[in-house]
Amino acid sequence: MVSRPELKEDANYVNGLAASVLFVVLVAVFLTAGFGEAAGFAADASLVAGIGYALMDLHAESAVGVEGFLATFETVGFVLVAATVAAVTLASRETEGDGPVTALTDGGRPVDGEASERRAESGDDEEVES
Amino acid sequence: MVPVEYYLVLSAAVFSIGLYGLLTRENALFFLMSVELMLNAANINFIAFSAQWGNLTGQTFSLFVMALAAAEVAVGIGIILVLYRNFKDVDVTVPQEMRW
Amino acid sequence: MIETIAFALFAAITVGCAFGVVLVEDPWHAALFLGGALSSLAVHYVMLQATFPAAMQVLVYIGGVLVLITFAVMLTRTDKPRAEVYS
Repeated sequence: MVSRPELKEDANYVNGLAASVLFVVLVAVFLTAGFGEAAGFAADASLVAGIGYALMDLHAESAVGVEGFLATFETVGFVLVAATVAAVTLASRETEGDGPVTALTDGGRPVDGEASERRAESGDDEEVES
Repeated sequence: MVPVEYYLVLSAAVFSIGLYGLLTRENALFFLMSVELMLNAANINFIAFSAQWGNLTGQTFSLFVMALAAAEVAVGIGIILVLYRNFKDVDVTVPQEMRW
Repeated sequence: MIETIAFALFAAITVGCAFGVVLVEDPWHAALFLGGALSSLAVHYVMLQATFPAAMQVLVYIGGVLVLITFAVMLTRTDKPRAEVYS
């Protein structure tokens, strides 16, 4: 079904004011700092090659100034592997048993007892109890 | 070349909009998208200052920010799907109790 | 001069789409607005001579992150009334 985007009506003015204040403060700081003239890159500088050298800690080879980022590169690789494993673990439907994976993937399912009784009384808990 | 201050103001605007979304919304999907906006505001700053100083470090680091944003979204999607599976909803105000 | 005009145009698109992301009611529309904001940010990167981050922006954000968010939007449809769901 194709539908027009509709704005959410009940805007929160306190939060809007907070975000606006942050914006005004940031702009005031930025516009009074004075950064001078932009240096820019040379028109024929090989920027992609520079990035590649930086990722491999070969920044001495680069024509454009850059630092080495090999350690960060490897760390981000491990973080991406961890995120992939975490996403697969969370998405797998393992909700039986007592292991740590179950504790992660059942997502705070209501337990028996006081809490679920309270939720049943308030009436917003139909089929999540199991 | 456009002065770097213009890009900083743009980045501040995008960051503040993302912050507003994060403060206002109760739907977890909007949380995810607001965080994306804020990370992109950081990326604008990195790349604007990279051009300002003629140094490639900012551009290189913006790539790491993108990689971390992709990882964050992958985990966030998993959490949202678990939330939906257990509560039939993606409202972040519904789950209030931990399991133990 | 023409650079300033181009910057103003795409900054307006970026900020407008960012407002759309946080103000719109339906998460699917918000995802589309997020795609607009990310695309216009790629244009800003090209104007800052950062062609490789611009390419990665298109590939990683629009091709990866936005598709994942679209997955999540479509997998978490609820049949509750709209007013209760999109808060």
